[in-house]
Amino acid sequence: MNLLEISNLTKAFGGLRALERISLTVQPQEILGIIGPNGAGKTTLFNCITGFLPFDSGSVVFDGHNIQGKKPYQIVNLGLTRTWQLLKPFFGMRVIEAMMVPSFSKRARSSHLSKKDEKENIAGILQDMGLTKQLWLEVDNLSQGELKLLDILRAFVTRPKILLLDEPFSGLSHKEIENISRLIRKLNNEGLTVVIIEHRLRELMKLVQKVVVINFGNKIAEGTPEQVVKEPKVIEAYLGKRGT
Amino acid sequence: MNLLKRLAPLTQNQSPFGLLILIAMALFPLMSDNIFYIEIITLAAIYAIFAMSWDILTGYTHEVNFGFAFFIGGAGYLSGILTSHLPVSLYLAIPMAALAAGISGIFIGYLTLRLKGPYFAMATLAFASILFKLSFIFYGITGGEEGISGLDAFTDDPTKDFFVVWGVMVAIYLVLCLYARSKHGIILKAIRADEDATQSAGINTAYYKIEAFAISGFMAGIGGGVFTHSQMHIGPTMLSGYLSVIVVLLAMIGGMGTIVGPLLGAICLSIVNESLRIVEEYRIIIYTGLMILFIYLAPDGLVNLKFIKDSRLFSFIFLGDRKPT
Repeated sequence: MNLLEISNLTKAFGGLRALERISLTVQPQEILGIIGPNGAGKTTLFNCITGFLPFDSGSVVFDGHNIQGKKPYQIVNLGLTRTWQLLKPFFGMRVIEAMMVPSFSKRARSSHLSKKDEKENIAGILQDMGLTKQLWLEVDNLSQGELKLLDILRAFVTRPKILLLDEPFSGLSHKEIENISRLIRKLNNEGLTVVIIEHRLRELMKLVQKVVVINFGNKIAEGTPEQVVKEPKVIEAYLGKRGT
Repeated sequence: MNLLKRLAPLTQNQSPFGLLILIAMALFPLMSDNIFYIEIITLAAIYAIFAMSWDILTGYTHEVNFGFAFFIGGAGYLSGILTSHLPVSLYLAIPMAALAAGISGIFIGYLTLRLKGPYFAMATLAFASILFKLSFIFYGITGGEEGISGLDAFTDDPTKDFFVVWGVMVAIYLVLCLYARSKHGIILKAIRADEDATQSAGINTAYYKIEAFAISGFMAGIGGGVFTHSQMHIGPTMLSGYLSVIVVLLAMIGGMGTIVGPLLGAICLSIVNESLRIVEEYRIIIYTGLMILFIYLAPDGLVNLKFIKDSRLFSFIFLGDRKPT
């Protein structure tokens, strides 16, 4: 069974067709990468799936629920959560408080964990990621890498079935990328399905089992990383046409 | 014993400084029975109610409510009308008026849900000025410019009156602190930081914003009712833009988003304002000058000064923060 099924998704901003009949499926427990040049429509795709943007036609079915017309928080409570390319941290709050926000969502509360367990669980995740020292700091004092981690953990606390990561590696050092890759792999091993948009292809290809390539709102290729990089259309999208 | 356990959260994480202010105020009448001073401190306590209830919405979501007189004056008038035109006791009229203010808070909160920044401020301002004009149009009921005088008082002794007001203020302070420290306050702070991110944390942000609006309106309604009956008078000044701005200033100077800040700001500045009556002709100049000075020196408010937030000792004393080492 497909966990997420997107068929013929179309979204236009006035005359600009940002997404043109995109179809793709996500299987449970896989890591799917979505790549494409700048402006290809990747983030628009995420915004449509997560309910932040209404789409024009097509359908998105997640875990048996049609998500068209649902509010973003309702979609999160169904088990589909995202992170942000341009970080939206909870400035002005302590890290521990910021981590508690998603635990107040309906989905997190129905996970049969008592308040104390929940707190310990959050503290445990933070400890794994080496953020224990920062627990009582204000979010404002964290580095870019720590903010990215915090954003992923924020999404994870809502106990999603699918996690959509929007450029988790951008602007990070190699060490920080490794740290985040490790976290993604760990969560995936625990049964989480992950969809990643990313420009840093080298790091991404090590992580994913399947890649979808989007250009100008169209899906141009799909397959394993090895297949996709040999596809002429993909090479053309990234490098341009070979002169004859 | 069970009740004590349930009340325990009320005393946890309290700001010692805030409690000190409350206790100092209660002890004041023991030191002086000068009615003039008692009146001043009663008024200060009422302004503290206004500033604190304003803070729970604006301090925590940073959507500046510039029409707070709508709730204060609206409830004040309602309670005044109920007790003067109908045979209703003021102990019933005040809760009814506050409830009406809370419900109109839900209504206005729903209408202004998508407005941000200046647009939100303008919309709230508009609601208050509508009510202000209405108080003149329906002068038969509201008394027009004169307002309604000779209303029922709580007691016939100013000192006892003060303790009634003080009790209401303490109750509101404790309830608001509890609310602000609960998940509701945390979610409001998250909405202040980023509404989209809060939604993607699975939170129905619209609900929490409207809830804060309703609570803010309800508490202001209690304040308005208490004001009306402790002064035995309600006039259009309690619906005017002047009052709305004063409430904003008191809370801002004290420190938004802390509850204890607006308490401090309102008490101190109200006392200063009334004390300046000995130099009445310069009062407004000195008072507003002082406000400008405070905002210039501490734009985030007195209790939000950086050295207070950064120091373990001061952040405990003023904000009740307990940072583990």
